[in-house]
Amino acid sequence: MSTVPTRLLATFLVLTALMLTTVVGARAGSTEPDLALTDATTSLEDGVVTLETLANFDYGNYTRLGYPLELVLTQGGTVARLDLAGTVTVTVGGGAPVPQPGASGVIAIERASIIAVIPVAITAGGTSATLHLEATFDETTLNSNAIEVTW
Amino acid sequence: MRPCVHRATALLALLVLACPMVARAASVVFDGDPIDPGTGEPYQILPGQPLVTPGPDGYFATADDIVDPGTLGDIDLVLRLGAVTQAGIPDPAKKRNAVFTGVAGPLGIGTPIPFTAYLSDGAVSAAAPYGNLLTAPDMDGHAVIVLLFADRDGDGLIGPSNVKKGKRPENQVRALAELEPVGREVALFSGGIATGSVVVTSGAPLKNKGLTLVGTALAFTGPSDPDFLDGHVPTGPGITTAQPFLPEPDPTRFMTDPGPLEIGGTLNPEPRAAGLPVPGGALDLALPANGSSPTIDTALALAGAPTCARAVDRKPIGKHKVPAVPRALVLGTEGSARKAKLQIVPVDRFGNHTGPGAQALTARVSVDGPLTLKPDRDGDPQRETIELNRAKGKSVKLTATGAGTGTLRVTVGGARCQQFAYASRPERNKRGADAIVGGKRGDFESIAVAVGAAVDTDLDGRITIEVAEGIFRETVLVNRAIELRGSGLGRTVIDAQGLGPALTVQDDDALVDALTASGGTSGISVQNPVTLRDVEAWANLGTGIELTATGATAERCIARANGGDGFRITATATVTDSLSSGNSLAGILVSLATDAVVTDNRLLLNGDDGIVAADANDPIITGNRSGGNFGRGVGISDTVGGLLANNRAAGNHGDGLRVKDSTGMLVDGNDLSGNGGWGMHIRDATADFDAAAGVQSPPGTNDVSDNRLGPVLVE
Repeated sequence: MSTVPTRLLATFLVLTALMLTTVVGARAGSTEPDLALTDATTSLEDGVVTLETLANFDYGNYTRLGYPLELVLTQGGTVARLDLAGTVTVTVGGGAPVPQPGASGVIAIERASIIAVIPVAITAGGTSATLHLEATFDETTLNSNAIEVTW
Repeated sequence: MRPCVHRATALLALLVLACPMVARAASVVFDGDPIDPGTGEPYQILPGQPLVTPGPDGYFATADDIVDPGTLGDIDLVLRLGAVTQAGIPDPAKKRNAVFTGVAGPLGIGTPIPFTAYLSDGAVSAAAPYGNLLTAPDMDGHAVIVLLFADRDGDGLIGPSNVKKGKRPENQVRALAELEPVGREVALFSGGIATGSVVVTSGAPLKNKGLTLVGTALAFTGPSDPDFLDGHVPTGPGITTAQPFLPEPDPTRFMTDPGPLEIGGTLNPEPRAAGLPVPGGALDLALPANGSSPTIDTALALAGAPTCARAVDRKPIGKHKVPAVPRALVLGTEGSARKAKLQIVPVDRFGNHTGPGAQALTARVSVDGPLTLKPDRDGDPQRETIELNRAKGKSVKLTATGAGTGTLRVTVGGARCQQFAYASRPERNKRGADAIVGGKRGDFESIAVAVGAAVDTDLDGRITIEVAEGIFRETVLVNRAIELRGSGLGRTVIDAQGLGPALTVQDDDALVDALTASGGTSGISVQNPVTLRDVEAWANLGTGIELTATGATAERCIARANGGDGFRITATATVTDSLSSGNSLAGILVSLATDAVVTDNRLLLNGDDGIVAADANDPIITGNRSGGNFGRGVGISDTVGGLLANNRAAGNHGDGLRVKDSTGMLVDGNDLSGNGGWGMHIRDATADFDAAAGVQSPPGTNDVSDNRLGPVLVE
């Protein structure tokens, strides 16, 4: 953290508003907006696997701007995409994404956490998958780090 | 802001009179304003509020603030929500009969709320009750920040107040939650007007008439200076509408990477109050939601479609109210103290209480440990299936069957929607504690007085003090063998108002749990070898939790939004299974300590590194999750020996791990991927990077993939 310039001490409203200022990609983390998975845990009940991520997905900016943001689960050739708006699609073997109308998908969005139900297409195929976050912002696709999820 | 001398009331119509000093012409919005002789710039005062300057401690919103009731702020900035057609600065939405209703969620899920911000000359009159529109060419292109706050307790005010609703004073603890904005947006001035729309993340069911919102705004003046925060922010003073708190003035407590304000760009974290508002004191900052405050405006928000269910407090539920979600539950073991009621309600994607939708949700509530549920239709007293076919939801009765701990879960269709811990203990019974602080049956109003005076009335060999829900404005020193137990995190709040550490523990046999320490020079200072469990340090001026004694432990603790480090270890002490989030400096700092242990913690969105070990010997750092911090995931410097194993540092703005000027640490099995710097940055340091093979060149067994600058830098 930088040293506080003396004049800042007297400008409390300016400084408050600074909390809202932009982060430019060249100076920030690995993506802009921030997109990172810190942890992911699962729980199994009645055959349903609930996935709880600990993530920095720039909650404030996602909710402001509403850019596409997905949880992406990859298991071999099967890829499930769970949009934060609630839709779920599954791609098998590089084919076309198939909507999963009955799937719960993302059920809760919190400041540092996203909770979702893992689609049956993934849970039926094994007991693990690779998870990452994917967003589209300013016509650019952004990917988080990937972590292994087991259930 | 244009503060003026005013000796009677806060009637803004009079504020144009008798300004005592004249400001230099930085912006026309400050014409005639008094000047702070210390900076040469106009004072910045909330409209209608007295001038506040920090006392000797240099901080705002602490007990030594200097309040000048003879100098009040006037109107410089006005915000209106919803559609506006009136010329000049229009009336608030309620007066013009045009209250806008939005829906919670981003575009595609919800409906944003339109806003218009106006610059005002502050010349209030009967014909211009909010002043006249000020075109102010020097403000063209300058940004205005719009914030939305929600009246969560439905009392018609944003923030803590002393207003009584019926016979009871307001629950100030619950009103604190209203200080966190539920929407924020930026727009740019042109001709004294800035327009846009703001997304809201909170709402209430249509059945409950939605949730009342209050919109505020603040803006910048002056030119840019490349030496001032990289030129991204004008150097002049700010202007604002009414706000429900004194904003935090010190950028080191919240700022990370300031950048240009632009439409559609990304913004940094939300504003932070300089301290907890003290209703009834010199400043009453609670914002009315009835359209009576001239600079702000109101709207309504509905919750979205249901996706889950949650257990919430039974009160408040009703018109324009948001029920609180318990973070934990503390019960007794006999009589009424062993019982509690919760309401199971449908919630939307953002956790807002909502209606049931077209099809009723089927929720299952389950508990473990010494707790039973009613109704019990299926013969299993620890599991119940509940149909949610109305917004009000259904109530469940919980009864503790003995002392112990456990978990309550709510699922819908097998998906886990909510889980929280509970505890049942004899001290919570009617006569189970030796003393009670606060509440209707309290023996003491002050925790500090109770700690000094309580005796072992039940002769069980312990002195137990139960503290009710509430804000206790004091500092507390626990220097006796006392068990001090609060009503839960965020429910029992000690607000030190900058007078010292909020809570200091100085006895080997003391026990503290289930409370929040706030507003202190530090939050909690542990100066003896005791274990601190289930406590929180929130919004303190400096460090959240300090462990300065050998043998001290912090377990399942939370440090968030503190002005210094979240946790600070300066002895052979332990932090485990804890959360450190949004602090201005490091998540956890180990400094000048030997054999400190940092294990299984979560470090998120801190202003500096997630974990720092500096000038330490043999620190044990294992199993931690460090993400989104504005420094490194883990920073090691001037340290000898130690173990860094099985940690994940991902998505930090700096390196995943930097080891500098250190020797002899074992760095094994860490995931250091997806960071803004190097995965692993080794500078003038030696270490082993594989426990089995004794590999002394990185990365060894560590994952350093997908980092912006590259996997490893050794220099």
